[in-house]
Amino acid sequence: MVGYNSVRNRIIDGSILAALFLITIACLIPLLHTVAVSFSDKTAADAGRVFLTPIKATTASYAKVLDDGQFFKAFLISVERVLLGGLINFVLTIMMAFALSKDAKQFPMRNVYMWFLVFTMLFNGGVIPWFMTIKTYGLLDSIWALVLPHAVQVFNVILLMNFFRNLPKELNEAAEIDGAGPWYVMIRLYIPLSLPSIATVTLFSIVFHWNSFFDGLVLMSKQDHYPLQTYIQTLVTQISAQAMTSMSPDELAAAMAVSNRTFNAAKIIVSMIPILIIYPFIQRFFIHGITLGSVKE
Amino acid sequence: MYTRKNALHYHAMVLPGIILLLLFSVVPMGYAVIAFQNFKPGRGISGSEWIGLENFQYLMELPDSRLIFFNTIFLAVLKIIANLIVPLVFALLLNEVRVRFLRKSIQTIVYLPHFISWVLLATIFFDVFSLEGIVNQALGLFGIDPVLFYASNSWFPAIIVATDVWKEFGFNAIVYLAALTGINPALYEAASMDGASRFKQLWHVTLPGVKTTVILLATLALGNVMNANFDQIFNMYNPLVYQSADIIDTYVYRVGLNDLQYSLGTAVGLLKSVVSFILVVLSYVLASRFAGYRIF
Amino acid sequence: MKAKMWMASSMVLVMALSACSNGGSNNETDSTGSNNGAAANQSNAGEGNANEPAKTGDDLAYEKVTEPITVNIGFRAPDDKLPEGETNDNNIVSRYLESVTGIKVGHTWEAKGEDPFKQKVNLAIASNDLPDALVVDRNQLRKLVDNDMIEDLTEVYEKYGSQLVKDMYDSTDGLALADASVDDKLYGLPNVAIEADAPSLLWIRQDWLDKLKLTPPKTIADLEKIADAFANQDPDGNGKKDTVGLTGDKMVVFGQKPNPNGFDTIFSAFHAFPKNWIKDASGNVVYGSIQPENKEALELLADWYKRGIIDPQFALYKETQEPIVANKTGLFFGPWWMPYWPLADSVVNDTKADWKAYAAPTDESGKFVTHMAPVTDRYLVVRKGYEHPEAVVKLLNAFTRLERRQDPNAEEVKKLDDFAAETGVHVRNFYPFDLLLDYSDAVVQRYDNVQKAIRGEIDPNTFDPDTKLVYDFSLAEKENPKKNMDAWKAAKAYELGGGVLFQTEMEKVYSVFYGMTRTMETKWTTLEKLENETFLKIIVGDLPVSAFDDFVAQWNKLGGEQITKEVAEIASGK
Repeated sequence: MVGYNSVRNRIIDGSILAALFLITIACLIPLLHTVAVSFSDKTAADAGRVFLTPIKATTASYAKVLDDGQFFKAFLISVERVLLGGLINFVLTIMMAFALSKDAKQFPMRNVYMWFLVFTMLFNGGVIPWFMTIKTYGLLDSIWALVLPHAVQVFNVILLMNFFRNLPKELNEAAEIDGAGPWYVMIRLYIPLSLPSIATVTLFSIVFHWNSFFDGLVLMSKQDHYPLQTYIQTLVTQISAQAMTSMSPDELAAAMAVSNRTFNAAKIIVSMIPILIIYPFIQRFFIHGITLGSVKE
Repeated sequence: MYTRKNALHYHAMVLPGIILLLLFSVVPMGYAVIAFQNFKPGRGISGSEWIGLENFQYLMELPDSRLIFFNTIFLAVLKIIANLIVPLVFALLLNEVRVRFLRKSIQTIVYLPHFISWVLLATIFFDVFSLEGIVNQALGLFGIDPVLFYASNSWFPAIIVATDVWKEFGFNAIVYLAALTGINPALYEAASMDGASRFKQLWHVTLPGVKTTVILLATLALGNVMNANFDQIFNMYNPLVYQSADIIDTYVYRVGLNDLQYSLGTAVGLLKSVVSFILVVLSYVLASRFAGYRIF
Repeated sequence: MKAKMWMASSMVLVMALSACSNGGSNNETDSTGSNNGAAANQSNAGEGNANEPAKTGDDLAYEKVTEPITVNIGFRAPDDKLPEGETNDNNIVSRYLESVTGIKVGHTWEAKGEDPFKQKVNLAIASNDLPDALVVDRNQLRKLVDNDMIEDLTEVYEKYGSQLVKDMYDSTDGLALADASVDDKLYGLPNVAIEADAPSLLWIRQDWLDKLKLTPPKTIADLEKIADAFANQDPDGNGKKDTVGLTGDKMVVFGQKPNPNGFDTIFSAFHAFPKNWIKDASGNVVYGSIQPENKEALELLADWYKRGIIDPQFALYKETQEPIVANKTGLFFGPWWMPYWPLADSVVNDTKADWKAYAAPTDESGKFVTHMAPVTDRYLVVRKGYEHPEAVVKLLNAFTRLERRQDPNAEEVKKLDDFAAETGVHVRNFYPFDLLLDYSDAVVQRYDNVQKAIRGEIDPNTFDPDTKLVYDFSLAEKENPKKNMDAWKAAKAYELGGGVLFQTEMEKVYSVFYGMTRTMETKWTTLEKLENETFLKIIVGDLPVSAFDDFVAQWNKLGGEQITKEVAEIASGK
């Protein structure tokens, strides 16, 4: 009986593992394929002969990325945006989440604020009004146009707020009896206890800023000021029609040796790098950080 | 009453954010009154003619609007359903894995796509689904003729949903995994004593354990019914599949920014916001009434 | 996109001129006026002109402004990669133009590519925050006039426009300026389109034809046979089924100035003129896209698509030229300048490629029919209230003179040419405005002159620089075929494209109306979208051909009928 069961169990375990293995592979294939393309020879990539391993491996595309001034300008702007935007998000998210985690008895206006947040999350005036507003403030073409409108990440506030609400109430009460003010409670008690959650929402806000492309497209006046994702979004073929008319066949051949397919793949990989670096460190907090953000009454 | 004295501090904590929201979210909504105007940029909002609901009426007559509302809801609902079921199945499978190292490694990999932008993914998927792409290469191994996925109005919605699930299932599984770890191990032990098979345990212990989570997530998803994901579709679609993939947000973008029809574009956007808001309120009420949860 | 591509043609002229001459200055049509004027201007530049009598004509047109003026513009940024240290708003071209005009150009914003630029302009209009001067399209011009946001340039143009600019506008018989005017007020300085840009010719790989022992097509049936053979009989001889028949573009038809891969000529062979306002048999103004003739063309194309005669992927390419450049096709429609682009790339990738142009297919009576293009489609406008509209006109004078190789400052021009040759940067892409002027029959004239010179009938030394260059290139190409691609491009574009246009007796159909009517303003984009999508869907089989009738009914219902009335009124009023 036991023997039969354990064999059966092993078969089940085996099939579960096999299924998970397939799922995991499916997650990786498009990414590995892109890596393979980025290291491949242009003709092979264009003919669609590259699958998961580079063909005639070359780093030519990466050399070209390194040589692309605008790519790096855009990269730096994105870094600046992430640092600035992430910091603002960090401070505001914690403050708002902490205050809103109080119930209406402690913080009478709480529900009003809360609905206001939800309202702003759902309503927007559309592209034209948004553009006109930023223009009125004189923020067009500045980094602040990318950062300030997203200063409050409502979703993150709600997430962190729900985590705060799940912390034992006694904590707060005991501290207050000792005469500690709310700022003290927030900084000395709540923040240290919520590091996984804070790490999680911080990652979210970093990723948000890193991945945004649309605001750059509308609000930046010169492509020199585009953040990275906007730059990649607007990538037009590097060897343009006009450029071709003026190149000699030799120059053309050299230019064509690095096709856009491989070149773009290399750009994609390079732009993923920052996320790939940060992500593993914070990933382990997820399970603890995102309990289903809600409180049972 | 003792606690009230802190309210002032709480206001101070909330206020910087509220002010920024006022400046950057509420003020633009003021400009959105052009939805009720025949807006002439030269005359500004104050000088433009007020035409009441005419833009909305025109909207109702447009064959486009039925299409984009349908596409939006159709795609969004498919995504919601798929994003409830696939992560659950995945979480249940993963939950059976007892080797910690394996669990962690799998998790690390499957969460990853969530963090890659649609700008990048769109480029990757265009490659993957192209005629020479790996999907068609794989089909070729089975002797199937290449399919023009991006040109087909029957395939494209499937691709939209599938790629969205691909990107998000791992991440969405986190909530389920948390719920699964929360199930009391004693229940499994008891079931095991009674000689329940693993499928029986799954059916009688595990699933009831995550039932509330599923219901709650479904309720919360209601707020997303009007949201088919602009970033994804904007970066992936093309004129050939407008028929099946043009959604409210992309339509608003094109009408307002490319076609100079400011008022019409704003009207569509406004309509969408109103419907979304109603849905969120509804989901809030449902969740608190039937599941006893307060979302916010 | 379209305009930029065309530019490819003269760009080469600019490039190579440095190699063979140092910017001669004689022009057969217009020389003395502008040259003298410029010379006078040069000598005056240092002395100041306070004590001179009021200047007129070219003296005034090319006169350097005494007090520095700044014009802030919306700039269409090119793809060209400038050398280290040069920027879009401060480079050798901008510095040169500033040195001759005294006018500083600032960039309020920049955008790269057609759509982003259009969006930036639209945002600027929406927020009523125009740069001092910028180039807009017809739709935007209309909006700006309606909103009273731009200056009336009638007088400024009269007073400050150079003879060269005026001559080129005059070559359109006043059509260009009329197009940019409302109630006899000139609101924009239009570009001048080359008439030759309108017809879409059939380009065929002659070597493939020869290999499969086919003869050049005349009729639609011939074309079908060739396309079928190209798709199925392995014309490139690599033993793989990797070629396609006729390629297309997701736009289906371009209607005015075609890019590569439009099906315009197929439609006009059926006497259908989609996207043009035409007169029907009884003389009424009607919209070309809803006429029954379209149905025949669509039926044919849908059938071809189903049978694989048309490239099954045609609507999917991000860049329509992909199959041409990759030599997967040997058959497509395109205007005369195809050798500049994309054919040069095709030939670079496969030197055996031997392209020829034909005015085919013809209609039932054997005549080649084509729609024509509007004489202009872009307009340089000046913000209402800008103090120095004359500065904008002067900039136009200056870079037009440079572009047409009539700039007397030979030394400086040589520097620009050298710069272009060294870096591969195109001088014209850094003019402040993307607005090129030429004589409207320039291409055919040039072809004719070059051929005559080759036959020894006229002396090439009398040519204007552009024509001389084509002549030199044509000789070079004759001696060393496909050796120098620049020579190949110019020689072939004129020889093949220009030649066919010159020799073919065509039935030219002009649209009676290009502007916007009141109702069009709100409904046109919807109608246009409906039209584009219906045509494309019918061809790829998503809709049956009968859906065309529903489209016509819906088109009329959604405002088309009203618009037709308005257009008829305007067109008959003229």
